[in-house]
Amino acid sequence: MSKAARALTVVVPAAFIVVFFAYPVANVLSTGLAGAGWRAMADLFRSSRERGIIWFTIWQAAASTIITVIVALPAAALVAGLSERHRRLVRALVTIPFVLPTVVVGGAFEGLFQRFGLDSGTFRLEATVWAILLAHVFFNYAVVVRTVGSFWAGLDNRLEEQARLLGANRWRTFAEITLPRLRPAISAAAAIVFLFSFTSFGVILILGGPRRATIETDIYRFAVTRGDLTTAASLAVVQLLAVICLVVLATALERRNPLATRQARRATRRPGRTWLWGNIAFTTLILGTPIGVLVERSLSVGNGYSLSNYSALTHRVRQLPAPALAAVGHSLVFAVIATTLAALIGGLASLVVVHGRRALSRIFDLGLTLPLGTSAVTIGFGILITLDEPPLDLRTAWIMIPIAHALVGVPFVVRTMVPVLRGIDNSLREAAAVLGATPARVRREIDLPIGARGLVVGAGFAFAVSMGEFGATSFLPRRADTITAPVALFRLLSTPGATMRGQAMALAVVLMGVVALAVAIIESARGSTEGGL
Amino acid sequence: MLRVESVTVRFDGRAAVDDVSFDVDDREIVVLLGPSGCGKSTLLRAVAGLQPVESGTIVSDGTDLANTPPHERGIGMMFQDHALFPHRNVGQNIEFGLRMQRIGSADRARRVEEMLDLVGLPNFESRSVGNLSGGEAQRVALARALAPRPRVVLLDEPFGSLDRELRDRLVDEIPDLLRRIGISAVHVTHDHDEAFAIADKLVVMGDGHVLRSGRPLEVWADPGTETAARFLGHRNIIDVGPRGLVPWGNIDMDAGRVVVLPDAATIVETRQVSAIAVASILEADVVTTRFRGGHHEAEVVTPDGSTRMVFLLARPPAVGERVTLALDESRISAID
Amino acid sequence: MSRTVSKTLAVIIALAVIAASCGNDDKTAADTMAGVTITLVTHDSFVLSDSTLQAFTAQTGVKVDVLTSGDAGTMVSQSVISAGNPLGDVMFGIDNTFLQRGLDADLFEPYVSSGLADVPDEFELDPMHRVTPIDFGDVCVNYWIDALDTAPPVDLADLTDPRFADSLVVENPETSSPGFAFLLATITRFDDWEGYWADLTANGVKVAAGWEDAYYGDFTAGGGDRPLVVSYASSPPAEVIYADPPVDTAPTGVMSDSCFRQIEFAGVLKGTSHPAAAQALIDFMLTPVFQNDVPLNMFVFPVSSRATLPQVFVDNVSVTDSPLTLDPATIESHRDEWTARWSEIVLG
Repeated sequence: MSKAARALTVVVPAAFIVVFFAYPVANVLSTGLAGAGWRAMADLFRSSRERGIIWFTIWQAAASTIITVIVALPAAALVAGLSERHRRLVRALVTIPFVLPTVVVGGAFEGLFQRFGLDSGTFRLEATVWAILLAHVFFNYAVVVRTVGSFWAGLDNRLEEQARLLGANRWRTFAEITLPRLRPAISAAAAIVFLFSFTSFGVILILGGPRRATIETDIYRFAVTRGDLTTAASLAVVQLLAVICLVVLATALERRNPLATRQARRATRRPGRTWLWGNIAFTTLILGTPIGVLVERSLSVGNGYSLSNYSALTHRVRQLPAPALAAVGHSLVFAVIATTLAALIGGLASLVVVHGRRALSRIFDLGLTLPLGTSAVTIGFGILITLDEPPLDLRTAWIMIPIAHALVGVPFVVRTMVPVLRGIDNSLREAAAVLGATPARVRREIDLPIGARGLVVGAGFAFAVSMGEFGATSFLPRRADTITAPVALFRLLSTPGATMRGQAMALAVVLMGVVALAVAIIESARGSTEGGL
Repeated sequence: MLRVESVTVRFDGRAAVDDVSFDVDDREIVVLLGPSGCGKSTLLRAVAGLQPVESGTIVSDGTDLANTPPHERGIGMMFQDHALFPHRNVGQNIEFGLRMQRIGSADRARRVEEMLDLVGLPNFESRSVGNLSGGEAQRVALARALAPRPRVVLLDEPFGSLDRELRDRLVDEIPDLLRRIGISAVHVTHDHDEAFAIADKLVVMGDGHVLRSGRPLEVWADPGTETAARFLGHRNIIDVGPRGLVPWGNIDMDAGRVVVLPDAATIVETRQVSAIAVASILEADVVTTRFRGGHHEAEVVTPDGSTRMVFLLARPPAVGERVTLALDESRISAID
Repeated sequence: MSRTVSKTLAVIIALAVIAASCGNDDKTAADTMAGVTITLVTHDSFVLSDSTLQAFTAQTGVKVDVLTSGDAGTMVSQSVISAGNPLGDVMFGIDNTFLQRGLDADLFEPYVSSGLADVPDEFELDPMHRVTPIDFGDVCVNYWIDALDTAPPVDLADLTDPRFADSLVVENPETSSPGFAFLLATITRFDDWEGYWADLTANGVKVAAGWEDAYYGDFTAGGGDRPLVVSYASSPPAEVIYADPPVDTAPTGVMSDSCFRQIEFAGVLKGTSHPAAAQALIDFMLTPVFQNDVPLNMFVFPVSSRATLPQVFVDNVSVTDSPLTLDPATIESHRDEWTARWSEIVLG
């Protein structure tokens, strides 16, 4: 039984990633490059425009990552210091931006720029790289706060107390004691933020202005607008290689000096008042303002305010094949399936990453993170030309949608769970073994329950990613009778008329609420297993 | 019942445990004593099966454990820092091993209660392990190790992190408890007082080797090597010159070193000296004295300042007083 | 662990099998129409009244599953890469700006629908009848009447006038279908279209990524500061129908003399196992039931002369008699060159 269990732990995630990602992507790339492979690649690097795009893609993603980490770390500290109940609440709330379609957020930002005169003049933000970075901070804030905050909460803070007693001030203590121990979580979060920004699509197009292009937007341009699959495939190869380099680097950082956390014995500290309110004000400014704009727009009707945009969501309008709320229902069903799949695959894969043989562990780590850094076009088209024959003719099946969502959700689960698993004091596993637990049983009794802290955080992300339909599914055909909320939102928004726009905004607000609630529920699931942590 | 034979463990080519052998008899408490880094914890982990052995055998009840994984060895172990499962409460921690043996829940509950009574923590079942004090965690860890009724339990520096008072109490209680339930134990420590208090048999380790083993009193009185002597707390290590020359005369041995046990000296009146062999009379000045309850510990120095020794004396000398000490030659032993 | 894992695995496999069987019509069954389900591949904007496709099923016994695939460009790209093993049986929504790509990829089976009798010849762009015109829409400059302090523009040439400095927002032709159509309009209208765009740029034209972004971000409709936007001739009726508070006449007007006409086609996808049912659906798309349903749902105009327009369209739209058009083959062969040139001029 234990052998079979161990085999399944490896085979299930491996099969998932090979069938739904690796093989389709390899297939579409080899099809695209067929006959023209090296020449196409060489042309790409010869073009100064494309070289510029590759460089811009990398540096904007790096800058977005650095800024997001710096901006979000204080909030992660705050989250770590809160009681478990409050922590859960904050973690749920910061997830909200994840579900917001970029066209909606882009609109909100542009509205803000215009209102505060930032659309022209010296302090122009509109159509600048700053607008891109700002939006990336907005979308990715949650990644850092949730991943680092949860990990931080599990650290033994006696070390900090000791450092303070030895005369280190607050900042010295943070820089020399806390920061090095947070590194696994920070590099995990940074890897996700980088990949997110690296493959960002809507933000670049909408907020960056028409001059900005990244590898991701260019893949779309060549594959869809121009129908030039060869160039698109060469760009996709470049993207894949860049992502592989990044993930290898991040993995190395995460692994170096893995610091085992002893049993956490931390009194929940009440954060200082200035610290607390300063942080809340800052977070509200960053996340709250665009969201506030959306809420305001959803409530504004005619010349006043009312809830009529919300009540309209229960009726079918001509633009949608079903009432908007039914679309929210479809999204929920998909998200539940996608989250379950992502938690299962990601959970098993994390065990392999942490406990598997070195080579296997590296491959899993890399392979399961790649979908996050791969163009939606590549994945979508790959699935389209690969899973097109029985027994796996899934390209038009509804199940393909949640599976593709799970593909993007798995990296979140792996990236949040692995640092937690690595942080488990190995003597806990040894104690269990000496008490008679087989290796498989040790995984079940020790790794899984304790790793659940990371698992639920990752699953929360997977849920939000699915509800917001980030990447992967944009280029898959879908059945009109299972229209999802983001697609419904786009349709409302692509019709002129104030009521359509109002309803689209109301739908966005409903999506935000549903996600905050669902993430809170998912995260409370671990309350029962958490015990003394 | 447990026999460790010529066990060697290497890390990157360096032998952390080098050709170590010892036996544990039924109901015997064996203490592995040594400085940190001497390989004693590694040896313990090897016995538990947590550390692969390069050569040598570990035999339990006649069975070679070479191919037995840790979870099938039936050996209990208490870890440094306890390693209590943070996600389970006290009761769930203790019943863990029983669950692994597929023992029914009613029997488990009974056993947990029994173990908590045994370690003096009745009704602690549903406490969270995060809220236990150091001593409580200690007892829970012991209860957890003992609950599945192992025939031998390994204790890895179990008192390392406790305050002195608690430690003294547990040093008394735990051997008692182990003897009461009739279990063998291997206990690792770097504290010689703790070792003497607990051990039926003492194994002194240094640098991966066994330096000396035997009954605590024997080992203490005849440590064999200087390293062992120092580690056992001996401070009177004296150079012996040619033809047995020592600061108080000559003794019957060749050049080398001896350890003078702290109970070797008795204060004598000058007029009694003639009755004693002159060769074992030492004149010294008292540097410090300390009352140790029952006897006095005095540090003395020879008038020429060349030799300092510490003795336990029945009568308290005054600091600065010159005393005449008679040394019992049977309490002096040669060391390498 | 293994029990949970294998249970979950079993569920996944079961789901996959069910899903696979749903997605895959029984291709060995005889192609009798009744009871057949066909799949209509279309773009995200496709929507009809519930009763419309029900009427088709009632008439023919054929059920229709609708599969949507993003915008028209994405839909065509998806079909091109899965040519030979089509995603469905019928495609609806390929327009003249993408038509040639679909034809070049040999996506369609020729079919001459009887309904074509009622369709003016100008809509039939493929002499081999591989695709059938169903509806059209005109991409035109829209203006917000109250936001203009001068007379509205009447011709493309007016847009370079200083009166309309910093007033127009257009969509990027690289990422937007109306944006590309507008570029085609200028190319058709001006011999020196490059000079025209240079003038537009000098006059402060703004480029947005897509229609939503332009219309709701920069145009007056969404609170933006630009009173001119590239949109559709049918946008004003939508502004009436979805106005808040209700209005009788549209707040926007259309510069109807400089519109580029996009014609949407339907075609039977090559490789279908239900050609008869697929052809029946094409026929149905030209019947008044379908044609009359199109304007209010998709804000496009029916091609059939038998169709009647809803009153709100009649009141708020005047369809131009002389739209700008270009041959699909010309469009396809110059697309990259034109958009690249446009980028150089406008984006620098």
